[in-house]
Amino acid sequence: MDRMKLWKAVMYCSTIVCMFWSLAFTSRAGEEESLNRGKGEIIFLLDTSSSMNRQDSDRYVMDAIRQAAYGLPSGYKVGLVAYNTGIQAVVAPGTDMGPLEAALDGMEYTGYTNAGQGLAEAEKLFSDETGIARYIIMLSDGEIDMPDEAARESSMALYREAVLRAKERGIRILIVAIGTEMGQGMHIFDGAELTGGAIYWEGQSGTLSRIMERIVTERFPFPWEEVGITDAGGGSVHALLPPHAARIRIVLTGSGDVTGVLADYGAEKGRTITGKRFAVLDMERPSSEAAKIRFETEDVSGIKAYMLVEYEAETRVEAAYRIEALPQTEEEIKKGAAPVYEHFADVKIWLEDAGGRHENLWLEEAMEGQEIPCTVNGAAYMGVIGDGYITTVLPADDIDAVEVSVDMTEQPYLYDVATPPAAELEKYPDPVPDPPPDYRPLWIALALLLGAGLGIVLWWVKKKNTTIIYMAPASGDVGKQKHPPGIPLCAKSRTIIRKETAGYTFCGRLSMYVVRTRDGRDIPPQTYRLFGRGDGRLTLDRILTDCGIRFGKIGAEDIILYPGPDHNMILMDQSERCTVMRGSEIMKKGMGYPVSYHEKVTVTFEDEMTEMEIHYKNLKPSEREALK
Amino acid sequence: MGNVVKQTNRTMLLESINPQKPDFLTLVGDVRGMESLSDDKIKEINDYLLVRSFDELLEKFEPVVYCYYNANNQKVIYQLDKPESVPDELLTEIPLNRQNEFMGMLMSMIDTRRSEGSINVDFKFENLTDMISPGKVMDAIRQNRKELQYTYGEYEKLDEGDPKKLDLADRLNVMFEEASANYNNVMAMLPLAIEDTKTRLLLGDGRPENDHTPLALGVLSMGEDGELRVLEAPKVETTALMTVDDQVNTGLIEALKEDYRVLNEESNDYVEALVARTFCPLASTMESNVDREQEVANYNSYLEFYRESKDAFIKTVKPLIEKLLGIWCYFEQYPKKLKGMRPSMLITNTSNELLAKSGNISRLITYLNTVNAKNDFSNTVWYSIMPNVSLDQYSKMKLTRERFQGNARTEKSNTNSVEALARLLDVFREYGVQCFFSYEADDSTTFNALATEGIEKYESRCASLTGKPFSEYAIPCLPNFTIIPKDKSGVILDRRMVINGDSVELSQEKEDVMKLWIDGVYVGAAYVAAGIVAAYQCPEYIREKFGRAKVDMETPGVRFDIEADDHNMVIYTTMAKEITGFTNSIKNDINRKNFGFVFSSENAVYRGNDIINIMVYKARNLMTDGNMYEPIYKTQVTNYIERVMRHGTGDFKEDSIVSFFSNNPNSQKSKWLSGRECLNAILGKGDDIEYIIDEENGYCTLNITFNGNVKNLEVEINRLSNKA
Repeated sequence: MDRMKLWKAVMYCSTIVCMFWSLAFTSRAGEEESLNRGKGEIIFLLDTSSSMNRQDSDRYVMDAIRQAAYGLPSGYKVGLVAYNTGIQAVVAPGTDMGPLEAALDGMEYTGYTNAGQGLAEAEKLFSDETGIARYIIMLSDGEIDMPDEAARESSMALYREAVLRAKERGIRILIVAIGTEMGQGMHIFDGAELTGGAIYWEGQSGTLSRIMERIVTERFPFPWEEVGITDAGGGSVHALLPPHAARIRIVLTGSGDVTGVLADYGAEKGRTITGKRFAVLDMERPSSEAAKIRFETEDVSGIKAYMLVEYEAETRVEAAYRIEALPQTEEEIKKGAAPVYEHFADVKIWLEDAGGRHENLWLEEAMEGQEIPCTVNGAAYMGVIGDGYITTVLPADDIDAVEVSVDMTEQPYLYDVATPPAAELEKYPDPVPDPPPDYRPLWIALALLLGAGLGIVLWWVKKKNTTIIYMAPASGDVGKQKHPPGIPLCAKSRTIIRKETAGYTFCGRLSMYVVRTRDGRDIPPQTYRLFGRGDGRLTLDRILTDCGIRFGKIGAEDIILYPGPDHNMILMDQSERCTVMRGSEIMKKGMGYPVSYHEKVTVTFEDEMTEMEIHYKNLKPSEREALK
Repeated sequence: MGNVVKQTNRTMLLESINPQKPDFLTLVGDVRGMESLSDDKIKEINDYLLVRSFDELLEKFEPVVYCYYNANNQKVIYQLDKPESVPDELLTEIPLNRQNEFMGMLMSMIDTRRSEGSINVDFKFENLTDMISPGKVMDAIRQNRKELQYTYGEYEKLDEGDPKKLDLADRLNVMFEEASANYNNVMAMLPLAIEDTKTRLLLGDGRPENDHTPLALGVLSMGEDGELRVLEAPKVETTALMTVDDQVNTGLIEALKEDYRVLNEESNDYVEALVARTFCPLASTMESNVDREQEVANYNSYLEFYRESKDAFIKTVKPLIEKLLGIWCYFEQYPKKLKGMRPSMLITNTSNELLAKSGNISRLITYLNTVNAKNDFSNTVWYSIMPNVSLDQYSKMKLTRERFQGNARTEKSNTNSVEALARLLDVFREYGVQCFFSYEADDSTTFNALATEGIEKYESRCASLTGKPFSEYAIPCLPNFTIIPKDKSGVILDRRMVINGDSVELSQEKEDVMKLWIDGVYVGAAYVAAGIVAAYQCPEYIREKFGRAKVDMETPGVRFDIEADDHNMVIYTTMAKEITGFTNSIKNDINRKNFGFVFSSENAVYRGNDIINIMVYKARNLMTDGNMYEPIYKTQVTNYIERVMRHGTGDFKEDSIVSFFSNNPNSQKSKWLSGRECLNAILGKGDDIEYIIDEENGYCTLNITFNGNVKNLEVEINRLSNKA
């Protein structure tokens, strides 16, 4: 009958626990999302009443507390409140295990069980820091028990109040029921129920070591990695160590005693903490790729091991300011419109080992292609690691710095990531579209050059056209008759004067008669119009070529015609062996002779055979009009 | 001022007459460095080349044909150029003068036709062509010898020392000189020998046909019984002549024989006797002893040789004869009796191809620069004649040497190329010389051909000469004149002689008729055109034709428009009509564009008189406005005004030009206007002249209005006068 009631009570309690559990899980899950995985506050609330002497005669409770305390990430703070009739010991939460070890070492089981006062004391030890996990792990073997009823009631009331406060503060109470005297409906279990905690029954939930291992790995949000156990000469653990980790702990827990623990590893600093049923290998900055732990135990299959890896990292950000011109249409290019620029910040993010050699943690092969949630200037961004970096491009118009945080909580290891200061964006002004090059100086220089060139050319032309005119004798009938009216007549006969031909234009026409040729052929008379040919220089060879007459190199190219004043044509013989006669007068070499209308020039070429006559004639106005 | 131009009809004939005589190019000589020729040179040229009549031409140029014999083929060869390889003693020069029977025949033909007024189809050409047969030659000689015999008889009658005898001696010398032309070469002797042989062999040929009794010359006498008898004449000696001639003939025979012997070093008895027989009365030279077979063979041989030589002669000489006839026709247009502005002709006496060569053309320019570009107009050349232009409008000048084998050309060798004509026209344009040219004279360019084929042929031939600066000075003359038509140019010389038994007679067989073909004789229209235009330049000529009241005797006929009114029916050529006329369609064709200097052979009556001569139908040059060709008088008036103005204004001094055209009664323009009523007025009715001075270009533009049509003349002002 009692057994049946007991089972009903167990089932009833289990149902309630499951309900609470489900509620608590739901709320915890919601909380876990916002909890810092690397931080937490754990207060062990230890019942040290005299009844514990029976239930924990081998003091495995102390061993379990130490196992849990050493098996947590270094960011977790651990405290202790030991109570019996009153408060026996209080260790404020901290990371130094020394006070805890000391308190545990001096612990004695005696007195009553004033759980109310103990919980209230424990509840007070928590800080007000937000976003961290807070747990009270209560280890007790029975209900609140005080010497008198009033005290018991008082303790119970105190307990309830403490539970409510704990609930308000988000402190969850995990109760480890030690021994076999714990029964359903005990008031202390209300603490677990009301705060969303849990109750572990020694024996039913495993040994204390196993229960504590489950609490640590299942209830707390930090990541861990299971490490395989092999049966080799008792037992051994071989764990591959991830590189660049700041701290790695390998925790072995066993259902039975674990002895003879030996560890083989390389690290900047390390130690092995052993208990009756656990061993913790604590390595700082491990340098070896693996760690090997040998141990001895009665039952290897009861051994479990997990590895806790912590990184100390710093997010590094580089932001490069970039300006990119928008492509322009052909029309805009033609118009010379100023280009429109877009401004970008090329952001480069990586995670650097903060305590070691400051290497890029994302360069590891395992990290390639990993998606890392980031926040870039407050905006969520899912970055993908490529070649050790996450790169992104931000519009840089409205930002002056790039502030980045990366969320490594999804990673299998615990990262303590320091947020870097915002990377200032070194902006530089838009490339001012080079203002249309100011060619004015160039043009001025070119104009000056051109002007100088023109001046030289004009000078040259002027010089070229400058012809020394041989003046016919002033006296004598023939001379008078042929004297061109526009040319100054010198007083003395046979005077040579300089006369420039520039400014005159050709006029009239030439009638040409080839009197004799070397091969005896008869060349028809030709008429060559000079009128309209400007003021240039003409060679007789050019004129003959234009008329289709080709004599070859017989000096025609050296007989030059220039326009002269008063419609005269100036003829100059620059040949070596041609004989040129104006009328009956042999022209001197290199001198210009004015030839007026109706005058005749006879040329005997250098071959001394070819001979021609050139008659210079006027064009009537009607003939000029016809030519125009 | 106006009569400073004494002549406006000097014509330059671009032809060669006698290559042995000085020619234009030779006389002008090297002109290098010369603007013009000296007065002496001009005089020398005139002395040699300028003629004022046909006889002067014959005298100065002595047209001649050279004759020599080829012993290998027993043929006679005639040549117009003197063969340089033949020694003078083997060369015979045959003068082409009025005495030449061929020349004489042709000139007679023209005269006869002119007097008859019959057209070609009606004219009996054979009546005149047999003038070159031996019989006609002999007839002429007979007439001469009669005179010779008579004169010699009178000479013998007179006593020695009688002054009249000396006069007769002079006449005899002339007659002997003319006679000697016939016996100083064998060829000339041939017709004499033929006729002599024929006469002797056919003596008694007038007997009845059935009387074959051999001839025995006798004398008619009365017998003692009074009966009439013909007694055979007694033969004193076998070779002696019958002595019935008197002392006169004996003396004449001796004189002729002596003259023959003196003139011919290699004389022989036969020719000596032949000469004597020819120029002495028959009775005196009759030889009674005749070797009939030998004589018949000789006769036939003479006749054949004569025909061949005559044929060769005619073929050789015909081109030259045609030129001479052309010149003769040119001068014929101006009446001999008139003493006014007689046309004169400067004959270049060189081939046009040579003259038009670039090497020589400057000589022509220099000459024209001398005579046409000075203010002395006595030697100014106004016209030129180029006959015988090739009908191939693209005919080129003959290459000096054909270096590469070109396309075969079948052009006539003696024609003038169009290229040469164009070259010369370009020069003539500069110096204001109007050029009359006519195409090669043959049966394709006659009146007949024009009447049947139309004028298009000529127009297309002239296409290459129209639209050129010189077109104004190119005057195509057509059609050419026919002296003897090709189809009527056969000449029957005589018939072969045959021995028929005891008698000798002329063969009646057709194949024995000795005939030669002259192959047509034609005269280029350019000669006649230039001749008639040159003639009416003379005011006396116009006055003679029209009457005194209408003609200004101080003014040449430069403005005379032969086409106007009835002028062409008053002034017409001396050439006889050739055809009945052109059809209306041909005339419409001619009138549509007024092309060329066209003669017409039309039936026309003017004031009751039939016009039997060829008239001028059109007188146009090749300058065209696209529709009509321009009358030639406009060009000449323009040239005349320019020359008179140049002379009158001191080479176009601006102030003189103003006074030249002022309203002052003494100004040249006023004088011209005052003679407006005259036929030959420079400014006739409806004509006017204005001037515009272009100060900028230094030109004076004359707007000469001819019956409402304006022609411009631009002359360069002599500005030196203003600055002086």
